[in-house]
Amino acid sequence: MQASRVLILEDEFFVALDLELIVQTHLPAAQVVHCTSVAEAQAALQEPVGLALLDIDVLDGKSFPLAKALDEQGTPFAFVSSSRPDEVPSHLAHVPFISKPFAAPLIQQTLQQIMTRAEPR
Amino acid sequence: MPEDMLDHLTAPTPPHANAAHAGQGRTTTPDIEDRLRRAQELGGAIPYEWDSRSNVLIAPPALGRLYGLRNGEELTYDAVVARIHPEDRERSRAAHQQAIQSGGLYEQEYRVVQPGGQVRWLFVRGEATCDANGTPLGLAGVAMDITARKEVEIALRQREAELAEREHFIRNVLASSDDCIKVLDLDANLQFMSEGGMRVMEVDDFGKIEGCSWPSFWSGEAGEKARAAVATAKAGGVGRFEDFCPTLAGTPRWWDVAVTPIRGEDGSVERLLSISRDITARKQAEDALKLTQERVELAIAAGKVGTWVWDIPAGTITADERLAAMFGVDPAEAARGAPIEAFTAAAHPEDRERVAAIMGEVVQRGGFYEVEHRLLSADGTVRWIVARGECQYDEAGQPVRFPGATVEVTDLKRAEEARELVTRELAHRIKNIFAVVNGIVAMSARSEPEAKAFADRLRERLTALAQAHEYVRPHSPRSRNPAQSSQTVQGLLRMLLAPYLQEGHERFIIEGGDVAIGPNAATALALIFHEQATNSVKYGSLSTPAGHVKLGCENTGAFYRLIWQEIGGPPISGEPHRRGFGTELAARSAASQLGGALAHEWAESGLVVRLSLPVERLRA
Repeated sequence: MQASRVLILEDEFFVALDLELIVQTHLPAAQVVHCTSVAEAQAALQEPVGLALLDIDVLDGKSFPLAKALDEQGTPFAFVSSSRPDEVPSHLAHVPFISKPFAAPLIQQTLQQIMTRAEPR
Repeated sequence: MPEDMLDHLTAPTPPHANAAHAGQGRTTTPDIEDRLRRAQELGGAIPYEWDSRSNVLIAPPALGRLYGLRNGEELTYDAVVARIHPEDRERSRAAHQQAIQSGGLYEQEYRVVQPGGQVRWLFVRGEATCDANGTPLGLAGVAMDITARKEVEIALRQREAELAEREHFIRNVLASSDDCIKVLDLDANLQFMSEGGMRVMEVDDFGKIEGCSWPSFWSGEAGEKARAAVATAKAGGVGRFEDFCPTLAGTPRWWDVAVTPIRGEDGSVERLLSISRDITARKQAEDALKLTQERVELAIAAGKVGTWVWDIPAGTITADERLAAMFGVDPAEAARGAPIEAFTAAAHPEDRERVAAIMGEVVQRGGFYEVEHRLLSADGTVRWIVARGECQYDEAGQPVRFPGATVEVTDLKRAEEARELVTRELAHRIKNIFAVVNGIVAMSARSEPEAKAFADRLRERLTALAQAHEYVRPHSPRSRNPAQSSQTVQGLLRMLLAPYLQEGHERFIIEGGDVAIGPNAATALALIFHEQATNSVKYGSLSTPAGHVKLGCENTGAFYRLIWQEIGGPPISGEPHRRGFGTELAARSAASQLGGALAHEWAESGLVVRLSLPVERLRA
C-alpha cells in the first residue's frame, strides 16, 4: 500500500522533526503532515491519511478521540508518547505504543508492522 | 471464801497447843473443844489428829464420810489414804512426811474416790504435832470438802482457756487481715485497732492514736463522708464510702470503708466497727484504665477510626457509631449488631468481590486482615477506607470472632493521587526532554551525513539511559507495575533488552538469582548492557539469526555476578585491536560507578563478559 499522506501529531518541534526524518527515510514517497493539536489534526483528516503517529498529550488535550476515529476508519497508526501505556483507554489498548524517547529502528519497525497489518483491508 | 473461813477457824489453835489435844479425847475443857469441833463441822471442816508413830487417827465419823469410807469401815489413817485418788496419793503422803519432818504447816488439795466412783475434792490443812522436846508426833488439822468450789474453779479455768483460745484466734484473724479493723466508741473515738490494721495504716504505737477521733483522720470531703458513715452506723445501718487518706507515715492510700454497729446484749448500739480496706492498687489500675480508655477514645475519635466485631456464627457485625456513619448503617442497629450484609452492601460494587475474597481467605487461613477499598454511599459519593482486623477461633479451631478497625483514607488517597499526578507529569517531561534531545541529535546529524553513525549510537545510549531512568524512578504503590514489587537487576535487563527480542525466538536467556537495584546503579548498568547488546548485534551472536546470549546471574550475598555469554555467533579470532568507546565506557563505569570489575574473555565460540559488583553499591 502507499502511505501517501502520513499524519504526525506532535507538539514538540524537535521530536516532530525527528519523526518526520525517520518516516521519510522509511517511506521516501510519503507526504508528511505535521500537526501540533488535535483540532489541527482533525482538520488534516479531511483529506485521506494513510498512516499516523500520534502523541497523546498535545496542546489542546489528549488525542484519544482522534485515535478512536482513526481506529474506526481502519487507518493504521501508533502512539508515540511519554505517557505510560496503561494510561491508554482499554478500547485503544491494541494500538501499538512507542515510549519516548524512542530508538529510530523501533519507529521504522512499527511503521512496517502497522502497514502490513492494514494491507489486507 | 472457804480458805478465809479456815484461817479463821484454825487460828485459835496455835501450833504449840496441839500437843495438848493430841491425846485421845483427853481434853481440859471438853465443852469448849466440843463446841469448837461442832463449829468446825458446821463450817464443813472436819478436825483430825494423826499420830504417825502409832498410826492412830483421831477424828469424828464425819471424816470417814468425807473420805467416803463405807458404813462400819474403821476410820484409820490407811483407810483414809486409800481413798485418796491414785494420782494424788503419793503427793499427799510425801506432803505428810515433809510436814512431820520439818514440823511446819501443811496444806493440800486432793481428790478422793467415793465408793460409787465419784470424785470429790478435799482441802486439808494441818500442822505437825510435837512432844515437849519438839520431836514430831504426827499431824493435826482439818479437812473439808471443796468439790463445789473446785468444780467452779475448773469450769472457770476451762472457760478462761476457751476465751483465751478464742481471743487468740480472733487476734490472729485480725492480725492476718490486711484490712484495718477498728473499734470506735459512740463518739467515734478509736478504742482498738487490729495488728494488720496497724501494719497497713503504718501505726507503730496504737497508744499514740488511742482515743483520737477517727473521722478527724480524714480531711475535707472525706471527713464529711466518715462522719456520715459513723452516723449511719449509730443509727443501726452500714455506712460505706471510698476515699483518700494517707497513712500515719504519710503514704498515700485509697480506702474502701465500712462502718457497722456493734450491739450490746440489749440490742442497742454500744460501739462501732470500722473496717478499711486498702484499694490503692485497684484505684490506680482504675485510673490507668480510665486514662487508657480516654486515650483510645481520643485516638479513635481523632483518627476517625470505626471499630467493629464480626460475630461469625451469628453473621452480624457490632460496630460503633463512627463505623455506622461510614457505612450508612443506623447507629442503634450497629450497636446491637446488624447483619453483615448491611455493611458489605456499602462497599463499592467493583470492590465487593475482592473484599469478600480477602475476608474469606483470612477466616479460612488465619492471619492479619488488611484491605483498602471504596465505599459507595447512597448519594453516589465514593470514599476510600482501610480496614484491618484479625480472625479469632474457638478451641475446636472454628472461626468465631473477627474484630477490626476501619479508617477513612479518602483524603490520604486524594493526596496520594495528586502526588502520583505530579510524579507522572515529571516522568513525562523527562522522557519528553530525552526525546527532544534525540531529535536535536538527529537534526544535527542530518546536515553532516558522516556523523550519522555517531548520532545513531548517541541516541541509542540516551534512550537506554532514559529507559533505566524510567525503570527506577520512584513509584507510588499505584504506578508501580504490580508484577514487580521492587526494582531488580534482572527487571532492568529485561526491559533494556526488550528491543532486541524477536518474536518466536529466544535471544536472551536470563538465569539465576536476582538482586535489588537503586537509581544510580541502574543508569550505570543500563549503559554497560546497552553497549554489550549493540556490540553483539553488530559483531557478536546477535548478528546471526540463530545466535543468542545467555546471562547467568549469581547473588553471593556480598557480590552479584553476571556472566554475559554469547552463543551461536560468528567465531572470534581473538581480542579486537582497538577498544571501542562503548567497551571503554562500560569498563570504566563498572569500576568507578559500581565499584566492580568487568572482564572480557574472547573465546572462539563467543565473547564471555564477567561482571562482579558489590551488592551494597547496587542499592545506591
